Amino acid sequence: MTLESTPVPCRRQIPEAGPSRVVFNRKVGPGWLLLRLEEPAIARAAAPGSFVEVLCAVPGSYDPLLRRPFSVYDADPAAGTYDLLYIATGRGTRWMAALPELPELPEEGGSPPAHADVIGPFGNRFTPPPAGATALLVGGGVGVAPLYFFARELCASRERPAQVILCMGARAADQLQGIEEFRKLPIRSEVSTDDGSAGFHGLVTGLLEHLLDRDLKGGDPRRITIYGCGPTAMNESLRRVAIERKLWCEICVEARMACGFGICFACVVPIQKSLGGAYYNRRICLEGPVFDARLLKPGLGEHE
Amino acid sequence: MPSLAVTLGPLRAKNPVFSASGTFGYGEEMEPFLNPGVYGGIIGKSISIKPRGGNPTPRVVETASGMLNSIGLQNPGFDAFLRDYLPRMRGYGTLLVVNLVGDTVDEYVEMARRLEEVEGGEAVDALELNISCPNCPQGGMEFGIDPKATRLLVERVRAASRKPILAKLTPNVTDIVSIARAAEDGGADVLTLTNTFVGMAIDWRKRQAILPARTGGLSGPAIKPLSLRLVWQVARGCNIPVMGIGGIMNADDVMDFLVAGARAVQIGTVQFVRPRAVLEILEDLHRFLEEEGLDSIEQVVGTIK
Ligand SMILES: Cc1cc2nc3c(=O)[nH]c(=O)nc-3n(C[C@H](O)[C@H](O)[C@H](O)COP(=O)(O)OP(=O)(O)OC[C@H]3O[C@@H](n4cnc5c(N)ncnc54)[C@H](O)[C@@H]3O)c2cc1C
Ligand SMILES: Cc1cc2nc3c(=O)[nH]c(=O)nc-3n(C[C@H](O)[C@H](O)[C@H](O)COP(=O)(O)O)c2cc1C
Ligand code: FES
Repeated sequence: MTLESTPVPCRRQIPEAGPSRVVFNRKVGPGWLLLRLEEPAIARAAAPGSFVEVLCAVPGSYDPLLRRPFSVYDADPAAGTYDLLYIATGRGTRWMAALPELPELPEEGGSPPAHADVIGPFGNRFTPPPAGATALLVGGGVGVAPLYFFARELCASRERPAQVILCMGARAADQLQGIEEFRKLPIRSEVSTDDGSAGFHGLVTGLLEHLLDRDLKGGDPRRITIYGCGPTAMNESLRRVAIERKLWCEICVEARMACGFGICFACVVPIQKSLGGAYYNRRICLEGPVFDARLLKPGLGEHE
Repeated sequence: MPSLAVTLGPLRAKNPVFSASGTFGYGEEMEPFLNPGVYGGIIGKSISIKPRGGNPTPRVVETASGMLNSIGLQNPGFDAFLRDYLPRMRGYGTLLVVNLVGDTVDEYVEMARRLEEVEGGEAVDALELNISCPNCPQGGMEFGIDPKATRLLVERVRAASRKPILAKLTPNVTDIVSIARAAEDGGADVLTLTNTFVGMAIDWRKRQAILPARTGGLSGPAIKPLSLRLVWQVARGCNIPVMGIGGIMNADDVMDFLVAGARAVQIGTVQFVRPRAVLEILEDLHRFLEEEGLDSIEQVVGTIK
C-alpha cells in the first residue's frame, strides 16, 4: 500500500444545521422505516449520494456515543424537509424507530415536537448521465436509498436520460422494500431475489448482466451509465461487471465511520488517484462516498 | 471578562482547550464547522518520516460510552506534511503543535531537526512526541512503556530542537509516574496524557475479534475516570506542567482535569460527535469563571483538596 499526499479537496460548506424536526416516522415494511425530518438548510444542501449523521441518544447521554450515517433518501427544498429510509437493526436505529411523530403545533402545555440532532449533509454525489444515455441504477438492501433520490432527480430534470432502469436485489420477495415508491416513478423497475421468489432468480448483478445482454444489446456502450449502491459484496461484483464490460460506472461505497467528515481516518478504501496509479487509502466520507468504479481496488479493501 | 489564558512552561495559550492528535485531521477538515484558530492550540495527526497507509478496515468499533480505534497512524509522511499541510495550519493564528511518531529514535530526531530548518525554526510552536500509540508494532509505545527509553528519546530530541517538547504518555503501563519523571528528566517541557487505553471487542458468534488488528485504543467518555486519575497522580509527582486528555465531552470535564492538576486539556473523540464542541466548551468555561468569581482559569489548576 502506498500513500500519496492528499491535501483535502476544496469543499463545499456544510450548513450549520439546527435541530431537525420529526415530521413523521413510519413503518414501511418489516423492520424498515421512513423518517421525514424538517431542517431547511440540510434539505437544500442534500444531493443524491450525500449522507447525514444522526445522533441516536438523548442530549447529554454519551451512550451510544457515535452518530449513525444515513444516505438522504429524498429531499424537498421547498418544504424544507428531507427523508431517511432505514432498517432498525441495532441500538441506534432502534432508538430512531422509537422517535415519536407529533402534531404540527403542540397544544398549550402539551409535549413539544420531537427533534433529532442531525448534521450534514456530507460527501459527494452521483454524476448525472449525459442527455440521451441509459441510466442503470443497481441497488441492494438500504443501498436503494440514494438511488431513489437520484431516480427522482433524473425524472424531474430537464435533460432527462433516454431511459432509467432500476435493478433492485434482495434475498426474498418480502425484502424488496421501497420498490413500490420506485414503481410510482416513470422509470422501468426490475427486481431480483436470491431465492427466486420474485423477478430474476439470482444476484442483482446477474439481473444487470441479463439486461445488458438482452435488452441493451447492440446499443452504444458509451451511452450506458451505471450507478450502484449496496453492501460491499454487491458493490464488488458490480465493479467487476463494469470493468469487464468497460462500462462507465459509479459506486456509492459503504464503510464503518466514526466522524463522517474526515477527521478520524476510519472510513478508508484503497483508491487510485488516477487510472493506472498506485492505490492508497482515501477517506470515503470526505472524498466519496461515490467513486468511479475504475479507480477502486479489486476487493474494495475488504479484510478477509 | 475573566481570562482563559494559560501558561504551559514556555508556551502561552489563549485558552486551555487544544485539539488532540488524530481527532482533528490537519485542520482543514474542521474549517466547515469553525475557525481552527479558536482552540488554545492545535495538534495534527501523528506524522512519521515516511508515509504510512494505516491498518485494514474496519478501523473503529463503538463500545459502551466509547470507541476502539485501530487507524494505524495513516499519514502522508513528513515531506508531504511540510509541503501540503503545514503552511495552511500556520495561518490559523493559534499555537501549532506537530505530533511526531517514529520507529527509531533517529527518526524522531531527524524530523525535529528538519523542523528547525523550516522558516528559521519558526514554523511550529512545539513538538508533541507520540510515544504512546497502541495501534502499531512501531507506534512509539515501546518507548513510552520504558523509563530509560523514554528519557533517551526525549534527551535526543531535546538536543536537536529548541522547540518546547510535549511528551505524550501512554496509560498502558503499571507506573506512569516513573515514565513521566523520565520524560521530565530527559528535558520535556510538558507532559500530555493520556493516549488511548488498549482494549478489545469480540463478535462471539463469529469467534472473532471485530478489529482485524484484534486490539485497538479505547477513547471517549468511558476512559475519563481512568485518565483523570493518571493526570492527578502525574501532576502531583512531577514538576513540569501537565495537559489532560481522555474522554472530555464538556466544560465540566475540562474543569475536573484542571482541578486535578492539569494546566490545559486536549479534546478528541467528542469532536467526532460534535465538531463544534470547542465553541460550547469555551463559552461554558467563561460562564463558570464568572459564576465562581474568578479572574483567571489558572486559579482553578490543582485546587483539589
Ligand atoms: C454512507 C452511509 C450511508 C448509509 N445509508 C443508510 C441508509 O440510507 N439506510 C440504512 O438503513 N442504513 C444506512 N447505512 C448504514 C447505517 O449507518 C447503519 O445501519 C447504522 O449505523 C446501524 O446503527 P445501529 O446502532 O442500529 O447498529 P449497531 O450495530 O448497534 O451499530 C454499532 C456501530 O456500528 C456501526 N454500523 C453498524 N452497521 C453499519 C453499517 N451497515 N454501515 C456502517 N456502519 C455500521 C454503527 O454506526 C455504530 O457505530 C449507511 C452507512 C453509511 C456508511
Ligand atoms: C481515531 C483516533 C485516532 C487517533 N490518532 C492519534 C494519533 O495519530 N496520534 C496520537 O498521538 N494520538 C492519537 N489518538 C489519541 C487521541 O489524541 C487522544 O489521546 C485519545 O483519543 C483520548 O482522548 P479522547 O477520549 O478525548 O478522544 C487518536 C484517537 C482516536 C480516537
Ligand atoms: S469517518 Fe472519520 S474520516 Fe471518514
